[in-house]
Amino acid sequence: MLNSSQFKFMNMKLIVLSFSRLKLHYIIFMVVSLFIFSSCEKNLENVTYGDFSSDTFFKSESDATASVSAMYTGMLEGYAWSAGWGAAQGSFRVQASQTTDESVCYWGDGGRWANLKALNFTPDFSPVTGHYTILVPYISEIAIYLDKIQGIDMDEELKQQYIAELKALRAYYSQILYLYYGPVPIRTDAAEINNSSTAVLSRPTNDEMLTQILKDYSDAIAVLPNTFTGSDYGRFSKAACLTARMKLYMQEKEWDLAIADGEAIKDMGIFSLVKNYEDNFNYNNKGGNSEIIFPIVCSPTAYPYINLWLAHALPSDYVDPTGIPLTAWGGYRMPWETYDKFNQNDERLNVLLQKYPVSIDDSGNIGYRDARAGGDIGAVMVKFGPDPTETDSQNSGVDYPVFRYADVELLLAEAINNKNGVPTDEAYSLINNVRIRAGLPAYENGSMSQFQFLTAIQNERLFELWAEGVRRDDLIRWGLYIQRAIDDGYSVDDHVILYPIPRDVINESNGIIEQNPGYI
Amino acid sequence: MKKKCQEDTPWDVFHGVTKILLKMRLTLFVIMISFFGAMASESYSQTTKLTLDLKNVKVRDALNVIENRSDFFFLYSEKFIDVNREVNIKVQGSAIGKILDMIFAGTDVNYTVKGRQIVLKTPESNNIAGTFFVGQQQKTVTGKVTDSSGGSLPGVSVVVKGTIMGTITDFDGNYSLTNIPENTTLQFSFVGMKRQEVTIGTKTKINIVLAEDAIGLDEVVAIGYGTQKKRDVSGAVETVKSEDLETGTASNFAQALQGKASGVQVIQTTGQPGANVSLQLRSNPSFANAGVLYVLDGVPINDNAGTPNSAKYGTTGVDQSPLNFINPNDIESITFLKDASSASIYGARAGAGVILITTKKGKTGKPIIKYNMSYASQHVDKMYDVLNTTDYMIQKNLIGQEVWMRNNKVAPYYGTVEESSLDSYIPFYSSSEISSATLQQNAIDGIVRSGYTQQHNLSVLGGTDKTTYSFSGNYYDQKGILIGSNYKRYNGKLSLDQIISAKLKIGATFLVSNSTTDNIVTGGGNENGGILTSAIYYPATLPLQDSDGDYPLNSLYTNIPNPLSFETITDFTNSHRTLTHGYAEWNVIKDLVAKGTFSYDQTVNKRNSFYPTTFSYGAQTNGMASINEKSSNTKLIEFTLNYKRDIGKKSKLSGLLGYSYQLSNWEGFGASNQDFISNSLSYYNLGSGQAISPAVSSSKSEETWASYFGRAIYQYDNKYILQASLRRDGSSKFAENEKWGLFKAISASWVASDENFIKNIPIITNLKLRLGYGETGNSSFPGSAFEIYGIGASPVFGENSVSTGIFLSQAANSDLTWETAAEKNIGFDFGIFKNRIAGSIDVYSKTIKNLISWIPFPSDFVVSGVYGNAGKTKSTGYDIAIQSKNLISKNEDGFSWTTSFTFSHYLNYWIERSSESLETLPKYEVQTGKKAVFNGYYGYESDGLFKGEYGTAPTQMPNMLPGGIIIKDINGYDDSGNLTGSDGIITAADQTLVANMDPKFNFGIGNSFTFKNFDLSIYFAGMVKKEFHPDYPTGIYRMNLVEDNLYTYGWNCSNTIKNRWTFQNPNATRPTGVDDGTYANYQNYSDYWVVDASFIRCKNITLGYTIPRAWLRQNIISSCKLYVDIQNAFTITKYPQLDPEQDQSNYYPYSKSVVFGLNVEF
Repeated sequence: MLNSSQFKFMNMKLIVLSFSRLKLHYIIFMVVSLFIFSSCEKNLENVTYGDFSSDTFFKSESDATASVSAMYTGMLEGYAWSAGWGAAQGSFRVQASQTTDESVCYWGDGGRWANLKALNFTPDFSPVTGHYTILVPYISEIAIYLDKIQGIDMDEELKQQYIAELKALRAYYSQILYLYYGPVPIRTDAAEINNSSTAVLSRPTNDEMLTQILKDYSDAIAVLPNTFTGSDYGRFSKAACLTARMKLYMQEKEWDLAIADGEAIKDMGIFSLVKNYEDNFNYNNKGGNSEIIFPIVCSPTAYPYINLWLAHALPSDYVDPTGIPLTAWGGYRMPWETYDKFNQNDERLNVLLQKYPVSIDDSGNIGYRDARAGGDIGAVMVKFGPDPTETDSQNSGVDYPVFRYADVELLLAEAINNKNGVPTDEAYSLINNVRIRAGLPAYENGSMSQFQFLTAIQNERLFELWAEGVRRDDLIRWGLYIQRAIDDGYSVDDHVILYPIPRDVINESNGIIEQNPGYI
Repeated sequence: MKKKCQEDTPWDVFHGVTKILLKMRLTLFVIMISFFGAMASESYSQTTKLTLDLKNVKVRDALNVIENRSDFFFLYSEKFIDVNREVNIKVQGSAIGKILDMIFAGTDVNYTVKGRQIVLKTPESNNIAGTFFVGQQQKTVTGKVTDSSGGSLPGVSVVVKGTIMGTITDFDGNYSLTNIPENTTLQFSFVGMKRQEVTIGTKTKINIVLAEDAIGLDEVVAIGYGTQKKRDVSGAVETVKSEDLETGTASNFAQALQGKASGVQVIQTTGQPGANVSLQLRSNPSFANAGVLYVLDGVPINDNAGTPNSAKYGTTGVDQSPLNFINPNDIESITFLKDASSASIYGARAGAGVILITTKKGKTGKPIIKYNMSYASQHVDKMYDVLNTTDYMIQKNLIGQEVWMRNNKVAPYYGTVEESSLDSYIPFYSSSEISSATLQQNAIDGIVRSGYTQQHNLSVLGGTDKTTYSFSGNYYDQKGILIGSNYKRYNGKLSLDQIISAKLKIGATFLVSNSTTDNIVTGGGNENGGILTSAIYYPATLPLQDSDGDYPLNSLYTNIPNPLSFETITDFTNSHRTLTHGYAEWNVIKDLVAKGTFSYDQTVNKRNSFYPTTFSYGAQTNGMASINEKSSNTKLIEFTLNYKRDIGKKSKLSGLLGYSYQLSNWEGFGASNQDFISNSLSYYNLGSGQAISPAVSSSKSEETWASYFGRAIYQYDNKYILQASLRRDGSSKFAENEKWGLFKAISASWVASDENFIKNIPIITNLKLRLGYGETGNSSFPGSAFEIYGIGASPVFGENSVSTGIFLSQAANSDLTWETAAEKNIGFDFGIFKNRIAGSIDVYSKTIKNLISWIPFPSDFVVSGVYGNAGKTKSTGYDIAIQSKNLISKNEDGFSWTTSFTFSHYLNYWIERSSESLETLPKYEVQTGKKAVFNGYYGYESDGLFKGEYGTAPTQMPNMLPGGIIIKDINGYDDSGNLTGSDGIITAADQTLVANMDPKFNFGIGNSFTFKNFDLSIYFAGMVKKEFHPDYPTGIYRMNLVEDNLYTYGWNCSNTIKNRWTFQNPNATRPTGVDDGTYANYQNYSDYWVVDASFIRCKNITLGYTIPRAWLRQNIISSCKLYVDIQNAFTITKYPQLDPEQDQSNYYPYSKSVVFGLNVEF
């Protein structure tokens, strides 16, 4: 097969040969013929293979589907190593744990873990400033897609659903930023985005940012179905929106509004606690259950959608009792001081181990090691089950639950207690649901004061939700975040409740975007 | 009767090659013998066709023109030949005989053509010649003519002065003249050599050593789309010839170039078999630095396929040079176009300089068969030094105790708690365990072995009147010095050139190469590291293999494979490259040659890998296999018109016009699977893996180039040369209005030594001044100027279904255009004391504007930035090259000694930064000026180690751990992010420029000695003031990160940790091994870790012995040489780690080689 440039070569030879009998005065012609090749210049067109160009993208329904899908990757903060709802240092889950009493880490990594523990944040400390850098562009891109999708000729119902999903994602990403950094400028006008001539936005007030977030949530809630199932499991549903918004209201101490959202979820009548706590975190959670409101669906071969919790948390001599090979880097542990708050009968200790398996002999007998006796810094935070497909010892396909009904129940109980001044029967029943499932005795209705009930909720949230990325918000809401650090011997003050804005953002805005107080 | 080399015939390339050959040493003279010797003598006159159009010129001038246009030269006496007669000659592509017939028509002049020598006679001169010496005694004189290195010179003309009597030397340089009178003078002359005259006197035997005529000045060098005499070159051009390349163990020629030419920086970053060598011409402070453009016989060869992935490691840790497809033995010469005035003819791709590689071509004559072989035994030069079993146990106990003391705040260093008040520390190992421990084999020793390289090379060159050919084959085989690493290669080359008619010539070259590399991944840290990382980390208490043949793992970190288990993996790359290249050359009319070229370059690299269950990554996935392929193909079409003409007596003009079009595309394909039922399936049946979703991938990309170029050279009186070129390049990477770039160059040179006022200065033999200005371009950046929506941000919904996502991955920049480098160059070439000392000095200044750089967008943009043109950088420097003939022997067997020396320096810095980049530039970085070095390393200034007791830490570092590096507080930030000066605490603002990572000086020193049949050469290369930071704790192999490595993971560490600060050793010279969470991030990037990696390396010591000709069977073997070469003999450096040149991320160690070689010619 000859391709185009080979043809051109042949043409050239023909030109050369056809003039071979002619003389000097054809030289000029030859020189001209040299430049006749300008036809090739048309071939200097850029061609994109394997990706889309602006000529080919965002024309069809499938383009809309793909762009909405892409925006979901913000849940894992894109391609940052297991960040977002993942399991590495940059994740919401691990920062909520390492900046509180929930866990400590064995690793040094140039002092980064120690600095998380000490709440020693600076505008150059990328583990805490990275959320800003990653999520703000997602919010901008959502604005562009919200704009572009309007012009697509597609199924109208699906279009409305996609718009609602995009708004829910934007609201949620904004909420994360708000809770980490306080109000930050976000772009909602597609025309202003990716435009160097657009003026820098200064930071909004708390109310302005909240108003934007709440508007997106209410727009989304109006359209989205209660839940997504089947092949749509993992999309942002109405129940997920309500849970997210409820969490925001809790942080804002808007107890009435939080209760309303909690009750709305409860009233859907589709959520309940599963019988076995561990089934939320092992392979049985695939496809969802009655308790998981919103998951990150994982697959061992779909990076970044891989569950890396066990690799980070298991001690390296850990041996899975069912014989599944597991990668174990030996990082995270729950300090004994925290672990000791657990009731030893708590069934949730099945996945939080003082003694952990280190060997299986030929007859199936399991050998254990006592981490406390061995001088380890804390208990082994197994939490997640191994992936029985054994596709990859490091990358697990067990889903990460993001919102669980047990979380909603405890938040609702807390909000009711705060609002009423004393816990109601409903509040007792909510916390008892969680306790009974864990094999613990129920609290008797009326047995506790508001403060005692709050303390009970505070403990129960630790027992139930450790390693699920809620501890930082919880401690801040309860006013215990700074106290924990002081108790651990660090000298810190209130300003570290907000993370610093990245230094680049301050610099490139020429100071129009102001740093959070206390950081330089 | 002077004779100059000219390149005026259409097939000037061939003449160029012959002229280079003339300058070569003995072995290559043998090639000449067959070319210029008796066999070829008739063919030259038959094959050389001349086109002349001379009106009313004197015979003398006509003969001069013929001499200038060809290799012919005339012997005649003006006494007998009327050279002032005017003639008209108009011939096209005629043989010399026909032209001479025309010139001397109607006269009694007759001629004899003997090779290139034409003797003109008249009956009168014949008579007189016979009677001229009547009355004088007649005698016979014989002798031998050699060059300064003792090589025989065949084809030298020996003439009795003032007569037409003469002869030429034979095959062995011998001559014999009979019947000549005493008291006459003999003239010896030869192309490229100084003419010598000797009075015969009473001697009957006269041996002559001819000196080279002004070193290399008549040598022809490639200049891109043509050749030029070295004498006429006006840019900074340097040539290295094949005989100066020690290619005994080299898999590619670049390895042998270090220090051989000034301004050429060669850095070999890894010792891996077949690995890449980074070659840098001068410097190029550019982010879009595509590297040097390599042009092989006119074909750019930079576009290759690249390294395919393996299942686990991707492309890291494996390095294969794209230049391996060139057999170093095929190379005739390598020319460096160092400055922009000479490289500009390659325009947009020449930003980093151009290297022209010319391969050997066949010559008319009897075939010359050459066979070279070499065998080298290789041993590791220097290896990582880790703790032995006992030290490992002692140090692990010690760091455990230190951590315990820190955690318990034990006085006096870690707090105020009295140790006696605590339960005592329980060490990992008891003293009896330590004293009775079995000493295990050092893991480093376990993966090292002795290796070898061997190669065999056979070439045949020859041709008939109309056809010339060259054929060569090469086999190269290397066993690496690390287990599992091997390299094997076959190369073949065939060149054919065919004269079809007087006006048309065609030719083709086929180059094929096939290699297989057994990859052993090196580099990387933690579990992503390769074999060396795993060996360094391997606990010294474990055996490498247990008694069952299993490979134990570190129980504290099971995710790193056992170092010896790397032996069990399959991972090899098969590389094929085929370069075909054809041309047709048409002598359109007098002085005008049209040439069309087409080349097709195809590369396929295929990597197969399988990790069996004996290897921990295989165990984790139950076997993991992958096949990955990368391929590229480049089509290039070129059309040039070359015009050359003499204008009047003294002026010469040559011009070039050309067009070039190139289309390159790259494709990738990969598949992998895991969970295999047996290791025996290896990668042979990917489909049999049981992974839920086996991975597949593919990719394609394309780039198109179009170029117009032109060049004119004007030469006056052979002394003044003016040269200008222009190139217009277009690339598909840029948006519509920015596709085209225009690159200009102009240069001039003046051969001052040809001026009378300098000719009279006796010590100056040669002096030339060169001036040049040129522009080159660069467009090498990943991506294009267009908006791209990428595929891949894909979430998973449902249970396992990936939902493909599309996102904006590249923003458009329709203003993005060519980066342009403008360079000024001033150079001198000189030769003094009859060229006993010769050399050149070049000084340059290069400014790169429209620097293609990543311009970060504000944080609310969708993508983080875009490639744009921002800022200017500058590079200034100089190159010096000197050759000195310290001792020249008077006779063939005497002692001679020559020294060559190269030295260069450059400084790269910013002279302008765009406002966008200033917004994100850290405040502590220098913005512009000579301190704003391009390759600067910013870190913290250290101020010794803190040795004090608890509570006495420096005020700027409260609560720092003892033994830590003290950081100087030089700055802080204010509210708007500006520097404040010292603020009492350590922050990121305390960073400052601590090192320029570019070397300050590069140099090479070569000495060669010859005595009788021996030759010895010793070669050194080195760098001065090269900074490196090899040992910082979080550096890739973390050999000094004691707490994390030894305490937490049980990894082994460097022996240097024994010198660290501990409570037992408070006056230590190295910092503590305990993590200081508060300050580690500052301390790890302090200048404490920056070391001077200056070095001088003895690259080669080569001793050769040429077997005397008398011993050889002359009819079969014409030359035979044996040699021993010690490569990488020794290195003098203060650098503490393995090798000052070695890349920290791919640290396959260097080897020391002893090479035995044999070169035979038939």
